[in-house]
Amino acid sequence: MSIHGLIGGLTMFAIEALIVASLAIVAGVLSMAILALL
Amino acid sequence: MLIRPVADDFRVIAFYLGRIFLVVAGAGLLPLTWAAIAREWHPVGSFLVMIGLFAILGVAGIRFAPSESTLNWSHGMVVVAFTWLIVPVIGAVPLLLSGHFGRPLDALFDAVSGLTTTGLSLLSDVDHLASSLNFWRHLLQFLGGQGIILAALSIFAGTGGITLYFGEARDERILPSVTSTARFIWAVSVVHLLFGVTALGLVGWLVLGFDIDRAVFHGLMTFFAGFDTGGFSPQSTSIGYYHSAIFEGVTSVLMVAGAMSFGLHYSLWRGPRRAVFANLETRTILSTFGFTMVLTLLGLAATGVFASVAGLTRHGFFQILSAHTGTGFSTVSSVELAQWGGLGFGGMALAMALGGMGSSTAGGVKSLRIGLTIKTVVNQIRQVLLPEHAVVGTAYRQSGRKHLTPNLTQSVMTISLLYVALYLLGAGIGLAYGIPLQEALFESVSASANVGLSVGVTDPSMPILLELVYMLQMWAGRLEFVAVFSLLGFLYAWALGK
Repeated sequence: MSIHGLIGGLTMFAIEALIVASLAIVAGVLSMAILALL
Repeated sequence: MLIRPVADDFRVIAFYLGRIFLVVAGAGLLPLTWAAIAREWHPVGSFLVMIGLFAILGVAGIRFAPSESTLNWSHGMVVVAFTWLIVPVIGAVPLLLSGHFGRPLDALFDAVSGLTTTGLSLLSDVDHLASSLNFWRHLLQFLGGQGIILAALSIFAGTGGITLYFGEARDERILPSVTSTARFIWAVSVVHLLFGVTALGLVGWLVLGFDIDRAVFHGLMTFFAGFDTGGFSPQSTSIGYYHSAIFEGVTSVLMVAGAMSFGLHYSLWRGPRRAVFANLETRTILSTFGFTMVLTLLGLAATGVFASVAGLTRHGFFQILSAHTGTGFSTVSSVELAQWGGLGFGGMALAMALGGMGSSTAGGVKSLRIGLTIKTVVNQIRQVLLPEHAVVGTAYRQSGRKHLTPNLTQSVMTISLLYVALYLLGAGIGLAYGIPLQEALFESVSASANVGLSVGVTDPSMPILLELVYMLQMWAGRLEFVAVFSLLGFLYAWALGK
């Protein structure tokens, strides 16, 4: 695998990590809101 | 009138099956080597028996049935269906000989569950299973998630490759040839293996205090089961064993990557990256994930299962992500999961039923079908509301701009309905055995959508008929019905055709 390919692969993995982090933040905000409301 | 298959049809099928069995025999060398290095001599013998059986069948298929005939659509589907029936039977041999199963059928159940990336297990005392056998269970999930046929296609190219490729529930060819597509899929997996195992290994070593061997072993097993949305674990308490939010975070990345279509991986890797978020499937899965997460969190908060924001976020998020991606990892036990009840339970079951993206390692109805179903319904409503001659747009984005045709709509609806029927089949059998509706439905959806989360119905003492039904559900769910119906049609034509 070339350096270019490896950088592409790393970018892919990093974007997936960002997606998970964003979803986790949304879950945190939702949990806070739900617990505050109930 | 059905035409009875002739000798040439059987020769072509046997020839391709033979090639695939030889590839699986080659894959069996990995756990054999592992067992030899770890000095686990009993599993060495078991793996030799398994490899021998695959090799004999493989050589028989190739030697006794040399054929130049082209593999047609029907042959390809039958090859796929037979592959997914025979490989678990022989792959179960080392598990059966391990002494960790009460009945031979239980070992087959675990092999089917592994290969279909479901993750339900009847294995007793997994914590003391030989490491090479644990490796084999997880490798089965890796082979099943990637696709056994895909593994074979990466090695041999043939005229019928495209049929085999589509037969294994993949509906997207990323690159011009099937062989190059298969190799790209392996490249994506290798990248995730490198980064995933490194990250998990470092967490195990630096955060959890494991020695390096153990950290790498747990990293590798979690990668196999996470990226291929399988859900097996070397520990009976699944990911809950690690008690680590960082470990759960890295595992979550692998689960999301596994549930993404390889077409989207291609866009993320080589661009254009904006295409990922314009994609109908991405938008659908983000919407359904958000919806099921709200349901689950509301249910858990209402029943007071988790009273703190941290607990609700961490456990609620991980469980719903595991359910929606079809992985089946958990941080709570099946006993606790069974106590969730109400909306929390419903949200989880719905997430499992919907599943991941098409052409991914995940199961379920798949978000592309959900997105297209919603689009069809919206179009129908618009058609009614708009003036008679108004044109309703049918375009959507999925690896480029495409159109929703009547044929596509029919296919989407048919497969979606078949999934619903499959979910109800297992639930009905479970109910007949006196299992409460909620639990019977949850477990049935988990098996059919190849998830693997359990509320305790899957147990070594479960009725044999229910065990057989779950195996059928895992098999049909993984192959998305087409290859299954082709096999049934082929057998029917063989018996009653003219």
